[in-house]
Amino acid sequence: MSSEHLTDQLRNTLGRLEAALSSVKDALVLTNLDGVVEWTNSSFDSLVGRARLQSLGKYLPDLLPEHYVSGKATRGDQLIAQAANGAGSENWDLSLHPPRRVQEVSWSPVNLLPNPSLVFVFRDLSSITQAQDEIKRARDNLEQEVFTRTAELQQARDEALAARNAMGRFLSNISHEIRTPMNAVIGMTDLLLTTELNEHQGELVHTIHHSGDLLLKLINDILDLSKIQADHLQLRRDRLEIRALVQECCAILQPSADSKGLRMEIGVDPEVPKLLIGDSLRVRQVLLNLINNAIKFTNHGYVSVQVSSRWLDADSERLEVRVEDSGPGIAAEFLPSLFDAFTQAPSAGEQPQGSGLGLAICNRLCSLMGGRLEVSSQVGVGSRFCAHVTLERFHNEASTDPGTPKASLCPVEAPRILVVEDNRINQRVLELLLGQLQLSAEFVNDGEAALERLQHNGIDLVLMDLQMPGIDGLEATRQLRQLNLRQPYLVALTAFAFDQQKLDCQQAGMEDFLSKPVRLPDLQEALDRYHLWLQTNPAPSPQQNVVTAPTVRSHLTSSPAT
Amino acid sequence: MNQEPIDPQAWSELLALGGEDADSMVDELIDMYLEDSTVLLAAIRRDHQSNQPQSLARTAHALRSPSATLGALRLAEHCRRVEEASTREDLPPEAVIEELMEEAHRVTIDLQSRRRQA
Repeated sequence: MSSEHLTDQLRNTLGRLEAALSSVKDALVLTNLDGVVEWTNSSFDSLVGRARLQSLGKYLPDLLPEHYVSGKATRGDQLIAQAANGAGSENWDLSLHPPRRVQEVSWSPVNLLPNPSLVFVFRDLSSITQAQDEIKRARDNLEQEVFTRTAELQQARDEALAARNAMGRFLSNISHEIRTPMNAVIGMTDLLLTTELNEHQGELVHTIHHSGDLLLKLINDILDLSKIQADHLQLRRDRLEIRALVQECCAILQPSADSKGLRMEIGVDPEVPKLLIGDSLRVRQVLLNLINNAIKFTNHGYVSVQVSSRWLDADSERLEVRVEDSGPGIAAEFLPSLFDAFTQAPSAGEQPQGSGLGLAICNRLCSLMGGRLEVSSQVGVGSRFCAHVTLERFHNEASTDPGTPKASLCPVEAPRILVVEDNRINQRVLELLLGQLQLSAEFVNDGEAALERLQHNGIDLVLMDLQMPGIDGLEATRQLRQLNLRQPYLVALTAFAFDQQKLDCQQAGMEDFLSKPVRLPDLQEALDRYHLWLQTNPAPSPQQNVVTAPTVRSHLTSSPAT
Repeated sequence: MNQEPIDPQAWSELLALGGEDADSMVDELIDMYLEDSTVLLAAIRRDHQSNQPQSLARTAHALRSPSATLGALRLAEHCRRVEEASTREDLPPEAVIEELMEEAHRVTIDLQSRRRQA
C-alpha cells in the first residue's frame, strides 16, 4: 500500500472522527499546554458563541463565558494549570439567578509527544439541575404546606378540646352544685314520709321524692359522662366472672320484666372464659343499662341477653353482649344519633324516662374498654344492642414475664402452694399439673410435716391428701385450724368422693375438694374457686396473725358427689 | 371399664402434661412406679399371709393411688376392693389378692413396653 494511499485513508478517518465529534452534544476543545485553542467541535462553538476559526489560537479562558463555582466568580486561568496536572471535573454555574444554567467541566491532559495537549469537555446539566430544583422546590412546598395544615388542625383540635373541657368542667361543677341540695330534698322527703300525712299529702311527697330521685340520677349520669369525656375515668382491673355478673344483672331487673309480663332469656356461651380481668363496675353498668332499656321499651314478648366471646390474642378476649328485645324498634333515621348525649328515641305513646344519657355513656364506656356499641333495629319487630369490650385474659402471675411490672397487681399473684401427699408419683404428677398452669409448689409427705411447714407461714394454698400415714389430712386440718397463724386455703385430695367425706372435710375446716387422680381442668377450676374466695377473703397484711375462719364453703356444700 | 391395663385416655392426659419432655417424664414416672409397686406388691402378699388387715389396707391404698394416676384403673379398682375389705377388718379372700396380682402383672408388662417405646 502506497504512502499516498495511507495518507488518504488517514484523512478519511480524521474526517469521520471530526464529523462524529461535531455531532456530540458535549462541547469539546483541545488546547496546548498553555491553553491556546487548537481544535473545537461545533457544540463548543455554540457554547462560546463564535465560529471555530475565531477560536483557534486564542487563550481558552478568554473565550469561556462568565461562570461561578460554589457561588464565586472564577477565571479560567486555574483551569489550564489544573488540566496540565491531570484529569478532573467541576460544575460551573453560568448564572447566579434562576433558571440555573450549569455546565459540568471535565478535563484531562493528552500526552502525545512531541506536542502534548489538553482536552476539555463541557456538558450542559441545566435541564437536569432545573428538574432537580423543581422537585426539591415541590418537596419543600409540600412540607411547608403539610406543616401549615398540621398547625391549623392542631389549633382547631386544641380549641375543640378546650371547649369540650370547659363544657365538661361546667357540667361537672354545676352537677355537684345541684347534687348537694338535691340530696337534702330527697333526705327531707324521706323524713317527711315517716310522719303522719293525709292521703293527698302522701301522694305529693311521693311525687317530690320520685322526681328528686330522677333528677339525682340525671345529675349522676351527667357527672359520669363528663368524667368519661374528660378522660378522667380510670378503668379498674378486677377479676371478672362474667356468668355471675350477667346473672346478677338479670336478677336485679327480673322484677321489672315480670311486672310487664316479659320473658327473660339468658345465654352465656360455654366458650366464654370463667374469669377475665376488667372493670367489673363498668361492665355491670353497661349490662344493666342495656337490659334496663330493653325492658323499659318493650311491652310484650321477650328480652334476651346473650354473651359470647372470642380469642383476640394471648392476653385479651373480645366479649360480646347482645341484648335483644321484641319492643317497638327504632326508626332507621334515628339510629345514627342514638348514641349522642341527650337524645332519646321518640317512641309512640311512650313517656321517655331517664336522662337519655344511658346509651351515650354505654357507648363511651365500650370504646374506653377497647370496643364499641352497635345497634340494629326494625320498627315493629325489635331492637338489638351489641356491646363489644376487650378484656384481659386471666393469667396467673407466674406465667407473665418477670420483667413486666405486673407484680404490683395484687389480684393475679401466684399463690404459694404446699402439696401434702405421701406418694412420690402423685407428687410428681401434681408438680407437672401445676407446671401446666405456670405454678410451682412445695411438697411434704405427711400431716406432721405439713403442720411443721405451715407454722412458718408463707403458704396461701394447700393441696392436702386425706389418706396419709400418721396424721391424716382431716386431723392435720383440724390441728392447723387451731393454730394462731395466717390460715391458708385448704383443698382436700382424695380418691373417695362421697358426700360424707366432703362433709367431713368441710367440718374439719377445708375449703374445697378434689378427686384423685387429679385432672387438669378440675385443678384449674379449683384454682379459679380459690381466686374467687380470695376476692371475698383478701389476704391480711403479714403483720396480722389472726385466725380467719374460712367463710366460703359453697363448693363443698353444693357440688354433687363425683 | 376398658380391657387394656392402662386406660388410654388417662394415659394421653398424662402424656399431655409432659409436653415436649413427655418421653423423659414417662420414663421417670414408670421407673418410680415399677420400683414402688414391686415393694408394695410383696407387702400386700405378706400382709395377707400374716393376716394383718390394717397394714394391708394401708399398703393397698399406697398402691391404688399411683396406679390410678398412671391410668391403671382396673388395678386401682382391685386395690380399692382389698383396701375396703381390710378396713372393715376382714381379710379379703385369697382369690381377690390373686386377681390383684394378675392385674398388677399385666400393668407391669404394659408399662415396661411403654418404657421401651419411649
